[in-house]
Amino acid sequence: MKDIAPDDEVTTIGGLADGDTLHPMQQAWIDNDVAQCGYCQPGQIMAAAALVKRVKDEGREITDDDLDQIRNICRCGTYHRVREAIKAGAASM
Amino acid sequence: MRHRADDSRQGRVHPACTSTLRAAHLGDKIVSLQQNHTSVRTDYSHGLGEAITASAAKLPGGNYSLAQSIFVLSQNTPYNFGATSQLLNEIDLGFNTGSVRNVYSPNVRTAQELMVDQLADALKMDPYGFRRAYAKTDLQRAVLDRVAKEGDWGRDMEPGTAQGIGMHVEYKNTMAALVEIDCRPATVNRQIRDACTGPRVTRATYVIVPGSQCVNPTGLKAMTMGGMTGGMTGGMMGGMMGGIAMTLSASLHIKDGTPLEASWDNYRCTRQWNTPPELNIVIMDPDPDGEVGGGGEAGVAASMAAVACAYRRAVGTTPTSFPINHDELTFEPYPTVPPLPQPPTNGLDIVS
Repeated sequence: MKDIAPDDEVTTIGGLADGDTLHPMQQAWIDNDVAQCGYCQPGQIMAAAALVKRVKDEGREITDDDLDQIRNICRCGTYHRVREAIKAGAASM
Repeated sequence: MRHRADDSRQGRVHPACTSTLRAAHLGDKIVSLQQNHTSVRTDYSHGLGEAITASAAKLPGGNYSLAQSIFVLSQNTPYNFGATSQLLNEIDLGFNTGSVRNVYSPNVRTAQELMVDQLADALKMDPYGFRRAYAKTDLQRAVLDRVAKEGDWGRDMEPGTAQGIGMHVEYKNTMAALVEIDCRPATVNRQIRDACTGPRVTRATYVIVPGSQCVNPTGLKAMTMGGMTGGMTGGMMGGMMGGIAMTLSASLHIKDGTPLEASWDNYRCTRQWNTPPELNIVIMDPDPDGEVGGGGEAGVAASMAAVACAYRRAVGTTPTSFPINHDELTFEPYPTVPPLPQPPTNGLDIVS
C-alpha cells in the first residue's frame, strides 16, 4: 500500500498543461477527436496520464491488458478512441 | 431513510420484454414470419416532447396509442419473408420505464436476427449469403457486401470464437454490423477487479449508408461507436458500445422490488475490459434518393444482433435471454439502510 502524505501535491486536469503547451495526453485527445459530451473526459485524461507514468516507472510499454484495467465510465462510449489516444499520448510522454 | 445509494436505485429503465417468433419455409422460400413482442409498458407520458401530446398520453388509452404508433412506425423486417406481422403487447406493471436506448429496435432486431441465422441453418445457407438473398433493397445488399469485405467474413476462426452479422434499417439509414466474439475460457474467466468480464467482442465492423447526406463523418463515427458499445454491452461508437453491453452484460438485478445496482460502477455498461480492441466504422456514400438520417442511436440494434448471432455460432446454442452474463452478480450490493460503506479516500490503494 502506498500512502498519501499531507504535503503531497495533487495534479488536476487544470494543472496538467505546461503553460500554453498542452500535456501530450491532452494533445493526443484532441488529435484523436475523443470527446463527445465531455463529462467524463478530464477523469479519463488524468487516469490515462497516471497509467502511462506508472507503466513507464515500471520500465515497460503500455499494453492492452493495462488499458483493460481502466475503470472510468464513458456513457457516450468513446472507449475505443480513448485507447487509441492513450497509445498515441504514451508515445510522446 | 433516504441515502446516496438510493439516488441510483430510482429512475427509469429500458423495459424488459419477450419477443417470440415463428417462421415457415417451403423449400428455400420463406413464406411467413410472425413476431410477437411483449413488454413492460414503455412510459410515453412525455408524449412527443411538447405539451399537447404529453397531455394526450396521460388520457386513458393515450400511452397505448403512442406505444402502438411508435412500434408500427419504427419496427420493420428488412427481408422478403412473405406474410410478415410484428405485434406489440405492453403490460402496465407499474414500473418506471423510459423510451431509452433505441426504444424497441435492439430487442426486436436481435430476436429477429437470431431467427434469421436459424433459418439460414435450416436452408443450409451461410448467414451472410442468406441475408443477401432475402434483403429487400440494393442498399441493404451494398452494406452487407461492404461489411463482409471489411470484416473478412468467413475467415478461419478458432473453436470457441466466431463471427456474427446483423442488419438494421432505421433513422433513414441502412446499416450492418459484423463482429467477432471470443467465448474461450481464458477470455471469459479473465480477472479484473470487481468486473463483469465474460465473452469479449474482439473485433467489430460497422457499415452505414447515412440517409441522404452526412454533414460530420467524424461525429457520426463517434456516435456509432457509442451505440455499438452500449448495444454490444447499446449509439454507433456510442451506438456500438451500447449494443455490446445489452447483449453481454448490462442489466438491473431486482430484489424485493429494489434494484441492487446502486452506483454506475455496479451497473455493467461497457467498460474498457469489454471494448473491442479492433473497431472499424465505415460510412458509405449517402443515398441521393434517401432522406436526411439520424445517428444518435443508429449503432445499437445491428450491433446487439450481431453480437448475439456471433455468440450463438461460437457456443453452438441459441441464447434466449439477454444479457448473457445476467445471472452472476459481480458486485457486493450496498445495503438498503444506512450506514453505507465510505468511498475510498486513497486511490493508490486500488492500483497495483
